[in-house]
Amino acid sequence: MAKTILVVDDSASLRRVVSLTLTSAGYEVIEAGDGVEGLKKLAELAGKKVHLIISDVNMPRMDGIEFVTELKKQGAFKFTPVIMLTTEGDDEIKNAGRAAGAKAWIIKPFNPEQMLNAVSKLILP
Amino acid sequence: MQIGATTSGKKILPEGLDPTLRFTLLCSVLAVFFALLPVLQHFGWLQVLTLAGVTIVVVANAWHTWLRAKNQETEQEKQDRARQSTLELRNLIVQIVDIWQPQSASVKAQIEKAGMQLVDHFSLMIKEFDSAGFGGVSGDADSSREETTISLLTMCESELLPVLNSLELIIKSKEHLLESVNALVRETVELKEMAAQVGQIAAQTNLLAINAAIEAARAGNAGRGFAVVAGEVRKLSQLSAETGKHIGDRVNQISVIMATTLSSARQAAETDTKVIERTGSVVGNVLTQVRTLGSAVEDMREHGNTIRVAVEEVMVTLQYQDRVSQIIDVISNDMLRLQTLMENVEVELPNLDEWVEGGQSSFKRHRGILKAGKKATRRNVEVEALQAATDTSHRSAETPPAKKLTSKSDESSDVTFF
Repeated sequence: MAKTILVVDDSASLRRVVSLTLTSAGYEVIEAGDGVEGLKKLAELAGKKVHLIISDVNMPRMDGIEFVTELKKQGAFKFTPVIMLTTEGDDEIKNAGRAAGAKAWIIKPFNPEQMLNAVSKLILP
Repeated sequence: MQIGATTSGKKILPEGLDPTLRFTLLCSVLAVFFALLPVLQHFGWLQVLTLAGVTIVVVANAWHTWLRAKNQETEQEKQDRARQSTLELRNLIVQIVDIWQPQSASVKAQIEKAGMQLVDHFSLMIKEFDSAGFGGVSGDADSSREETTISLLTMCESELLPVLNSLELIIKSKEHLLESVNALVRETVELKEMAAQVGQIAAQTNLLAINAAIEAARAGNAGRGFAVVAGEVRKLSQLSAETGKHIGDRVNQISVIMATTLSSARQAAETDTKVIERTGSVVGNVLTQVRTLGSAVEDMREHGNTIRVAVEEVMVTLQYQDRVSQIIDVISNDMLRLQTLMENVEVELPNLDEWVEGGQSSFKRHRGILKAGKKATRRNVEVEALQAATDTSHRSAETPPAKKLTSKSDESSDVTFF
């Protein structure tokens, strides 16, 4: 059965590129436009397991760091690995992401092969 | 939006003469008047000279004071004009930002829309490539498909070659058959000779039996028994002659049949050889075509893969649309900050450093995006150019480079694992 990945990014075109990369490798993808929508989508899953989350940092309404912080407060997703996918590259914000609970940091534009490697390393069994 | 025009129409220039000047002139007139008093009583050259001197001093003083007042007036005018220009400039900036804001939003929306369309089209192209059997970076299914294509061609070759070999074997076996039939014909001739020999032996035996019967008759009673034997031998020789004749007849019949068979076999062998040769030629041609087709398919697959990889790279490049959108966001935020600053005339204008520091997340974020962009696009000339252009327009972003991350970051990639 295909593993499920939630992709959170405010850019629809980037979400599409990420989605295509993941679906071509056999993953099932759920998309969300920002942190608020991401949390809503997760709440709507009704028990369906999400094996990994990929999130942007700069987003309207709720940014990626806040989203991960909120996510880790919920027991169901406490151990779900999160990859931050962003244009940001400063140590300061990277450290904030790590402190929030992210497991990896990928700088856009991403290389599909590198992303798939990171996903296969971190995704839950 | 208009900044309050409380001082825009203010006239600083005094109406009429300056009070100091008026006082000076009044003093001068009074001095001249008092200087005239002695002249009116004792008119002489000394009084006239004194009057002239006082008058010159007074007029010079008045002239000097008037000039000074005029200069002061010009300075004030300049200051007022500069203040007015500043206010107008503030107004202009506020209004221009109002125009730029929707434009930048429109640019962002258009870039997003066009980016989305491009991604859709390119993803469709990749799907079509996949359907056509061109493998991608991670396409296991595609590689199996192309293997199927190649193995089909190989199988075609491996199946047709034995057919060709079998046809050659059939030709050879036909030749063997023909040779066997020929050998049979030769054997039949020998049988015919043997049948003739049987006939001759029977004739000679018959002759011997006749002679024996004659000799038995000559011997009289003593040869009576021998005459019976000779009679029997004669009968046997007649039977042998008949059998020999039958054998000869049969062999003749077989010879005719064999000749017919041989002729038919020869004709069949010739026809078969022609058909088989033609079939072999056709199979050979098919194999050649299959090999050519295989080579063409291989070339096509190679070119298709190259194009597919290029399309995938284009899709990676399209991610810059997101970066451009974020840079537009940063610029838009800075424009709003500038507008707010321009609207508030009471606030003192900051210098460049204060402006950058005051930007907080806006400029820091801008720097972060550009720095990340530089790292992620080492080999992308266009994006380097974009960054250079943005750097030029935001000199404030040219701060000393931040120290590198010392965690498990892989310098050769843009992925950091925590």
